[in-house]
Amino acid sequence: MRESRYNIWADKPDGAYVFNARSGALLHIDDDDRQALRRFLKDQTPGCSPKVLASMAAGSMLIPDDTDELAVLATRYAASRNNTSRFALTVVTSLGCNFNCPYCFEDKHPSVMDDDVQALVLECLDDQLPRIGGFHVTWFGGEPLVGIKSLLALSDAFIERCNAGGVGYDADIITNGYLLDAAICAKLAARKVTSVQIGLDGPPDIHDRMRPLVNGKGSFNTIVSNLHHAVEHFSVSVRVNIDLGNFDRVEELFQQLEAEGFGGKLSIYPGQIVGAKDNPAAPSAAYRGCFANREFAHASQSFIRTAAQYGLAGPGLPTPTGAPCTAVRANELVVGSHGELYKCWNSVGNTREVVGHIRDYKQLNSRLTKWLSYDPFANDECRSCIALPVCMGGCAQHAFDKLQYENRCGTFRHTYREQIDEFIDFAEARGLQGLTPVAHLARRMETR
Amino acid sequence: MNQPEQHARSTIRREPEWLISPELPAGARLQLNSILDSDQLTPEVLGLLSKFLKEVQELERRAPAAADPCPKLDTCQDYHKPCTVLTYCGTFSVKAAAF
Repeated sequence: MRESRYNIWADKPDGAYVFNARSGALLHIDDDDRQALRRFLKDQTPGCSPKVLASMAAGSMLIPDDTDELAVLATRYAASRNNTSRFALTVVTSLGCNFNCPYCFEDKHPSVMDDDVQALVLECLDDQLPRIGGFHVTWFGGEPLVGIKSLLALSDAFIERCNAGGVGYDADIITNGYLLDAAICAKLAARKVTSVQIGLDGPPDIHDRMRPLVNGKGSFNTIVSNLHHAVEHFSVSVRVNIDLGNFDRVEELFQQLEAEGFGGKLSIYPGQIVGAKDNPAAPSAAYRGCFANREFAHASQSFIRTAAQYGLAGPGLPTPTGAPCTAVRANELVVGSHGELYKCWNSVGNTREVVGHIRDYKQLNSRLTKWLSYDPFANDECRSCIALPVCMGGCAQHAFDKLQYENRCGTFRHTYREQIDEFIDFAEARGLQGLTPVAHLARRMETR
Repeated sequence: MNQPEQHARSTIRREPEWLISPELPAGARLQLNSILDSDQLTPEVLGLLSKFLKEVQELERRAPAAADPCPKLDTCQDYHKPCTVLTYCGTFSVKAAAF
């Protein structure tokens, strides 16, 4: 037996921790046990604690000599990609948006999903229902709440069909938050929307510059007002898109949110702005001032550390994954407002990335191939990367784009040691002991 | 909108437990408990540990079957390659030639 290649050790004053990226488990080992473990793994010297070995085995930190961990991950990836027991749609109810963000990757125009397209979406679901156990919807845009009529109508129909078929249903929404007033919150919550992602890009002057309404006016105050309603109904995640121009002002946003009483009521995290140029008509094609991927990873660490001081975030570790997103999962699609289909959220509005139409969704075009053939296990950098089990190749769309290739990676690749160290420091203060799946620990932290 | 999916902690869907951490069968749980109850690393305990590791290895090999993939997957010559018409799921049109 031997150690997993995905073990990451962190030395601390009272021993060491080992995190395994393939299982997501974290284990504390005192100094004596670690020395005994080293001797045991070197030449089977007795004296190692059976408890330590058993714990490490249960956490995939200790594996049989003949285990090919890359093969295990490749099988996990394929199983996730080909999982047909679940079905997921990302539904663009409105490509039109009430905002005019200078870094938007979509070439937006007014377009709300009509009744005919809705009927076709329901036909697609009807085909799936007999064989699935769960159906998940992400409401997306443009701005999905501009298309609230179709969102509510589809939600009611989805829930009715899933209830009749004994299929689980849940939904989340990615919205700019401007229209998310008390009444809309109640309507969404009644339709099984459980989590909401809202964008705030800094204190009022920064946010209003980066996320203005189409008439040029600011949106900050309305969004913050709506957040008070949202946190009563949903798990709320505030995304702060950061670049070189707003990063040094984010703490002012934290201070304002804390003053508004949001500490412990929502989570905040940084998003990387990229100057994506795959759709020349989108504003992002001309956007400048973005962080490079490695810079963003370090900025993210600083962001989370600071946000934690205001009760708006906690150090976290990524959890192991299979196929990471809709783009590379076979049984998931993005439905545009006209019924056009995409594989990637980032492709919405880009006619060169349309893979078919919902009316004829059984005959998708050859553009589908690149998404379903994306293979991180054919990439030497990915194969040798410690972050592979938690990112599984990261963003396929960026990987296809020479200009964005480095941005395919998540932050763990660059800052895994810092992330683990800070998580452990945070966890130790809360009495971490023994073998603890990180996700479970994180959940326990969230309830405090 | 800007790169909404990458890093979106609240909206990325978790993988099912069976894929990341398959439930241990009763036999493996017993082996694990026996090792945990042991004070010394005797040859018997070491043997139990080896058995347990093999059980987990086998479990990880079998877990993907729960993904309910194409019933023809076992005989598919293109397994691990993409099914460009999503033939395995039955939702999309089956091109017989693919098999």
